Amino acid sequence: MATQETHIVDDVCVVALAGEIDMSTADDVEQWLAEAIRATSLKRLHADLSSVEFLDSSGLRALLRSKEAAVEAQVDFAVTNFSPRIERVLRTVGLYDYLTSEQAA
Amino acid sequence: MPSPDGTGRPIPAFATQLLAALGRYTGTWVSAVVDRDDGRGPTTIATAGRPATVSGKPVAETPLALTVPWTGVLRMPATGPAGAQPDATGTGAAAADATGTDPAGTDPTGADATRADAAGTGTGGIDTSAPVRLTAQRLATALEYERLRQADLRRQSWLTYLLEVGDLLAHSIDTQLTEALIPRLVVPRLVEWCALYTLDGKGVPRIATVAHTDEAAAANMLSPQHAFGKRLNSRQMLDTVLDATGAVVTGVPDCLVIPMRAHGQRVGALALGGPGIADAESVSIAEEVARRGAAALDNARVHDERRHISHTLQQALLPPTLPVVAGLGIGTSYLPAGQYNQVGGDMYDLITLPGGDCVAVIGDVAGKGVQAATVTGIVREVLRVLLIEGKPVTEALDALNETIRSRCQRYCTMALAHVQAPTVGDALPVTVYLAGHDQPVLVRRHGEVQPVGVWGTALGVLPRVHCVPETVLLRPGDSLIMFTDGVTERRDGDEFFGLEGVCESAAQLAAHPADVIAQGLATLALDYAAEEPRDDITIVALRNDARPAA
Repeated sequence: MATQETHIVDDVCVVALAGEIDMSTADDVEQWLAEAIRATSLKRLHADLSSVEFLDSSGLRALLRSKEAAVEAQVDFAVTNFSPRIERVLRTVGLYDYLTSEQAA
Repeated sequence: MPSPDGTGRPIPAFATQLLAALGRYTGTWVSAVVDRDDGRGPTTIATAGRPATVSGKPVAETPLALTVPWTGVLRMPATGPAGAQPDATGTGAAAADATGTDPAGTDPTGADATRADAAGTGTGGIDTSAPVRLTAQRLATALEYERLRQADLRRQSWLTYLLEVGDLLAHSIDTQLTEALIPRLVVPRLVEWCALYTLDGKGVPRIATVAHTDEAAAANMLSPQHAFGKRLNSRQMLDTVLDATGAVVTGVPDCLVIPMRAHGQRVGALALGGPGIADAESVSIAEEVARRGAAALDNARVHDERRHISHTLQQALLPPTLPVVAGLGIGTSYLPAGQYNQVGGDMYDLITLPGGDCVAVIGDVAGKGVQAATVTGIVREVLRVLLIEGKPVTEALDALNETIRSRCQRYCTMALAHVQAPTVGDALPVTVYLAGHDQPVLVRRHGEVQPVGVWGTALGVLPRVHCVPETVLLRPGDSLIMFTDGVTERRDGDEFFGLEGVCESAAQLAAHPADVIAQGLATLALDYAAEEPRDDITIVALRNDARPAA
């Protein structure tokens, strides 16, 4: 189960995700982020993971593809507010800097 | 009980009442004889009075207007100068004389004049007088109703049967099971025997399965020595199986052959035999079964092919045999998850370098299915080539990163352990390289456990991978356990097996042989939860098999 909520904070479009990002929800998450990237007129987009309890390889893949889509759309994309468990996932896969920094690779 | 005349009375009771009224009117016995084409021939369904059994007395028959194949007549004594009316009203009235007058005056309707008419032609021919005609019509209507009702019930029953057949076949995706099932769907319910013909790879028909109400006869159907078997395998029969475009009755033996087609392709034929096989209703039902059977066979075949492809692919992703390296125990456990026809994204390999060193590799391509498997295959082969060529591991990882990045939509995590020649004291130096993969676990002979390796960049995402090698010493009896996230992410509700689970299990399995460690860890991960694993589980264990000193 995953849900999303989009709101604006200053000049950042924030997509707050909640629940689990795994095999069953990864496609939805990717779609939500893709839509947000397309629709926003802002130049910065954050995926707020404070309410995300679980992230596996499919979830990671969704985040990676979102980052690629953002780079193509010239939107700065970063994930924020993740739990220690999710931080560990990002560090293990060696993509912590890539995903948490707004810059492209 | 059905109510053929809408009054709730079954046919025989209704007919008896009807005939009794007519009989009182004519002062004779009356009977109704009907042939329902059910194999029993003409049957008396109702009688009023005692029909004369003495032969020679002429009997008049009035046909009942029934739909073929049903036929029926009303029978009563022919009236006329030659015949005396036998007593048959059952009311004790004396036999009327030739003119039909009732001397005892038991006729309540007082219709003597009409009865005189009822005498008819008096030659034993058809009595067309009004009451008899009306009775015949009334009875025929009631019988027609019964016939239609029976046909309707039968049709409903066959529809239910076909639904059950469809249901059974829909659940069968195994070719052998489907072939065994099909003849049993029609024997004995529809026919006496059935042979299912299928076409082999070259399009040659052969009998796949048979069924017969008589078990012994079933064996004869398959026996090339027996007449039955010979006829079923005759040139003529096989030609019919191949060429028939619709249901056809052949005489060799007397049977119905129905071609089976799916997606416009012939998949076989059904041969059916038994009484009544040629009647329209049976043929129609049999064709329906054949149609469903063909679809099921085709489906099962597609499943078989897919399973074969998956199996072949999967096998291609595994090392054909584990290398034998002196002093190094190697154990693996490979459990792809998902349906039997889904390939996984996990891989492992054991590569022998030119100098004799062994490199153990474990990898995980994100996702499942054929696409993931393709990437897995590429990764495995490219890595192997590069390492055997003598490329250092870090360079090989760079090259792999480029390959995946440029060609695939997926990323791949990988862990490698380069086992080098033993040093002083039989310790094996092992250099661990991590590319996006979690740390393997080093378990000492006495049970201490520690994760080893420096986290690196996953392959296929960034232009450059960052990978820092770390070397550890595997002393005699020590093991290094590599695993994919199918193990750590094994889940029971909100709890995960996790790295903690791996470390605890490793401690329990310390000092055991490498294959025991690999299998043991896999079992512990599997047993952690009741449900089927959602992700592939892959484990490679390396153990220093040198005997510990003291």
